[in-house]
Amino acid sequence: MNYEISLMTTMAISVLFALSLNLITDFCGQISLGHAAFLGIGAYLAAMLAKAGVPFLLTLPLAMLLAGAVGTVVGLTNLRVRADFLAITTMGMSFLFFGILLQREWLGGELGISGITGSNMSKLSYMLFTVFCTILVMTLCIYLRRSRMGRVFNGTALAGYSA
Amino acid sequence: MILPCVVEEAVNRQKTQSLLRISGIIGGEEFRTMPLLSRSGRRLSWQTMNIALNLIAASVIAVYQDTLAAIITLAVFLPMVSDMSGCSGNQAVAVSMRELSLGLVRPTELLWVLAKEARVGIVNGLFLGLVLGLIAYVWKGNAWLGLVVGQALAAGFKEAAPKFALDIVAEYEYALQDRQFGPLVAKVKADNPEVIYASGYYFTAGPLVSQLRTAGITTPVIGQEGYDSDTFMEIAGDAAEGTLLTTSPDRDSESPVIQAFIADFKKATGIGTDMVAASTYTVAYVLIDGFKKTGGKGGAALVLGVVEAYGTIYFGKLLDRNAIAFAFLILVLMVRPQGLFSRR
Repeated sequence: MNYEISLMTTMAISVLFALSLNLITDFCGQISLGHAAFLGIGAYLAAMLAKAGVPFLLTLPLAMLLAGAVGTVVGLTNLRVRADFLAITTMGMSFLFFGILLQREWLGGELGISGITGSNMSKLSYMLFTVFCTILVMTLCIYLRRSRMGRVFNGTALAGYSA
Repeated sequence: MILPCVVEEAVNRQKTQSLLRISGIIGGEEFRTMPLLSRSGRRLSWQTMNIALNLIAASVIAVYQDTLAAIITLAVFLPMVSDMSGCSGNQAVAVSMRELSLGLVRPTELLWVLAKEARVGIVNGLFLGLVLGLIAYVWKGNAWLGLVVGQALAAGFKEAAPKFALDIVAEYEYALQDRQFGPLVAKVKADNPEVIYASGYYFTAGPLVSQLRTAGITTPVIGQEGYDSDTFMEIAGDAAEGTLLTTSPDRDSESPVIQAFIADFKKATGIGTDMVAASTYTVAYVLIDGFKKTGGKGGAALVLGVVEAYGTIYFGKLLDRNAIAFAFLILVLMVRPQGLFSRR
């Protein structure tokens, strides 16, 4: 049963990632080829904080904040470019992220971070937690789509294609 | 009156088509309800084309099996050839796919596209063949190619001769396999030139110079590539003494003799003699010609390449190679969102 639980946990995390990508590509109609960098930024911060002894549940919002902050900066810079160049800059962001990481010894270099402090949850409850987060984000996406913001997103998509 | 749901449907349709184009799935939408075989068929058409292209490339190599078995060093170049042919095939597929998805060509224009791609393939094949041939020459010291270079130099000499007030009194020809130059030596003796300029690799140059000297001809011989090898001196023996070379001296040489020669030559003629400059001139000429053909893209690619190469030297500890290139690219796009050399 252990294998199924790990598989489900990984799946839930992947679905979370896919949902976040969907916000950009489907809702807003913009290409993003560097999305993994933001997942990585969050993951690296959470891992570093956990190793430093910060409680698991506190590492999550901090990781989200940093990834969001970097995303805002990237987003503001990317406002200047469109279409093919937007795809290139987003891809560039991910290369830049890897490039910075791989050369930093204190971030584990090419081997990454090991010996990360666990969440203190059992495997099953950790799985349930990730599934819960996924459902939460899904609900947020559905709400977002129907909200005023969702219509703005749709408008962005339409304007992007007609441009 | 336009209902919100109609607008939403139109937006969705537009988005789906664009996403399909990005994924390289063309010929309209692909529905989950479509039969399995028709769905796989639509995608396989592109994938099988790739197999076919690779098979053609492989069969070309198979044709030259015997030559390959005879000259084992050719095997070194085999992966390069197959890689290049594979890449060319993929390029053709990618370009055609993009054109189809953007609606620039129609499937009915198959023959036209095929003919055009074939022409591109031939031109690129000739160019890559030349580049690979030169690499083979430098790497493996291919004598036959040396001869081609020698003949080109001779042609250049003939062209430049009038500018230096040189009279060409006679021209002599010999075949690659010639080792006996009796008739030629007799003609040279009759013509009695002040100087002999002879192209050719060491296996012809050696016997030629040796036979000229044996016949009592003391006219200075100017040789070029091939004459500068140790093998030439071995074959020609004492006759090699006094042979002049037109191969440009290396400006980076530490030899005081060469440095003095370069300085004296420049003083006397006003023209620098510089092997590096000559090669750089050729490279620059090819690059400039390339830029003319590719517009701003070639220049941008070159700038990016230079930044990447030098950036890795100075910032290699901070960022890896790819990251440096992309960081510069992003920086450029922030300043010039329309592209580095775009006029828009």
